[in-house]
Amino acid sequence: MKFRLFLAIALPIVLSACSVARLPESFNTAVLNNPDMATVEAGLPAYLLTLDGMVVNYPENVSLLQTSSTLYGAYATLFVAEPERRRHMVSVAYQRASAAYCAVMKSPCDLKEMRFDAFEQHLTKVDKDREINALYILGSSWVGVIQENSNDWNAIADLAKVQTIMEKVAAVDPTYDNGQVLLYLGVLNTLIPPSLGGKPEVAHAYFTQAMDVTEGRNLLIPVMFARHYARLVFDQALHDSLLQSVIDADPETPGLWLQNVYAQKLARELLASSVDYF
Amino acid sequence: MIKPFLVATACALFSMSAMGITLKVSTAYPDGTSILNTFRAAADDIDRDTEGRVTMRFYPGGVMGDDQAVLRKVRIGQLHGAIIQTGLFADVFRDGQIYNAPMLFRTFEEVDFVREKFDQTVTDGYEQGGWKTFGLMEGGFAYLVSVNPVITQDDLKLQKFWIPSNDAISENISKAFGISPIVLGYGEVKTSLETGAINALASPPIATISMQWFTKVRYITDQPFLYTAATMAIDNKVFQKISPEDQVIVSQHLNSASKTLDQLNRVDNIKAYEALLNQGLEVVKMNDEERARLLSDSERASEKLIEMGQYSQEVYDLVTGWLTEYRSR
Repeated sequence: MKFRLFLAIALPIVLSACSVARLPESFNTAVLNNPDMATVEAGLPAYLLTLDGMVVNYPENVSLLQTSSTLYGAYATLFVAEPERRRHMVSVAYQRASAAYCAVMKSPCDLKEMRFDAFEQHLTKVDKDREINALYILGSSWVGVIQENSNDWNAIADLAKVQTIMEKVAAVDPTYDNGQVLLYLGVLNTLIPPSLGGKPEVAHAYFTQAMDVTEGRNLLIPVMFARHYARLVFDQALHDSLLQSVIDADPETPGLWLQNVYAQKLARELLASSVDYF
Repeated sequence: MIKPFLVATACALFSMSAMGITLKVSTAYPDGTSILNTFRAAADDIDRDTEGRVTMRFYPGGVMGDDQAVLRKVRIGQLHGAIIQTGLFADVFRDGQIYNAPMLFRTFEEVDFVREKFDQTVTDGYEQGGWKTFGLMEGGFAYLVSVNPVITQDDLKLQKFWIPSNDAISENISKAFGISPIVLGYGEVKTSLETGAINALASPPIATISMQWFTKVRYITDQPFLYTAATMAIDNKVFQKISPEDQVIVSQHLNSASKTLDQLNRVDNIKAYEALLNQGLEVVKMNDEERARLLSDSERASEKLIEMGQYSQEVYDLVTGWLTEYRSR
């Protein structure tokens, strides 16, 4: 039957915004601590173009490729409405993350092309810090590609690899990227409803752990908890209380201000549609 | 004494009528999927065109329980309908299950040829059984996927073959093929493939990908195992409470949504099959002799299913007659 469960995977595409944390320090601080999304929207493209030029000159510079990847993904997610433009930008993000991964791993590195069993075998060799970091950035950018190509069954099939990547990273360090890796896993585990064998309790555990790790400072986590878990299990009380807590919270948190402002915007939208949904 | 009571009752009826009807519909499909999006859009159109007299509320993701629980809730009036696999309507209209006969169809063209002739009979059968439906929505062909290559019925008997819990059709088909299946809930399938507790199953490509089962199997047998379909069904008693004018509007929009999804699912399954091959699954090809043997096995299985009362001999003969006609063209 129509098991096209994940076509509208509705992954927290904004997650890649969190990776803005890997921008060069001064720029990073300016972007992440700027609560004015309009200013960031207007300013980021110039930096994207600068990075494009630098990548041409230094095509194997891992740091540059990764910064460019995360920034493209973040901009596409947060500010680009046109599907074609978004698809292009997340594709650039993926290509650069993939190039960075290959630069780090040297050996066969095209994870997309590997059969799943070979892919699993390959991951057993990924253990150094920089390898894990490159793997995580690749996985994050891959989420964006899947989201923007959710009508493509080849992309949907790749979800299995992305989930395995995130499980690998979380096994190494569950606090990775300020708990963001747990947020990915939380959302990924809500994609199948319980009636079809999904395990929302696993998702619940990931979301809860992510909130604990960040001590409630990352407002995107409760928003995604509400949007993906509470709606899945039809728990309106949890849904509304999570969103209200986000709306009531002070968004000003070092390194998360921009993202938190965005999370509050999402929370208001979701709360407004609560009555209709439930 | 009586008069005030009548007035009060009339007022209450008027009030209910003024409030309109909300059709509460459950489904296992999660929110955000094309099936929910399409029916929600249809519900918006119904709300608009009936000026709020008929609205729909969806309960996605199986929050109202499994299919059997949903049917019970419809019977007691807690729910009014479901988007549900036709296999679950075996008790409503037995011959509707003819579409699930093993290896009945070989191509989508054959499906179209038969459905054009028989869908209305199925819809009428459901209506006589108490359910207003709005056309069938294709679920696609289920294909055998396995850890070891499967070509013959004997190969199949050697597999640890999974079927879902509470699935009478799959159980009967397994029996008819002489298979002793391993019955598990959906949530246990991937892990069981990993541990080797099972090593084969039949599933539409979109499910094989969505549930990530493809990551634990190696082969796909190049022969559609069975055809699957679903339908949007509303308890006919509830549907009849809607005014005739509004029934037309509701039917028009739900029929249209079902037709859209019927076509969309066809495309999706074809693309998902290709994606499975791109993921490295090897197609188990069979020569003419092997295919003829497998199809002969499936015909014997169908005979047993008729003996079990899965569907009638008359309908089986009717449909296979159409298929013979189509294949002789």
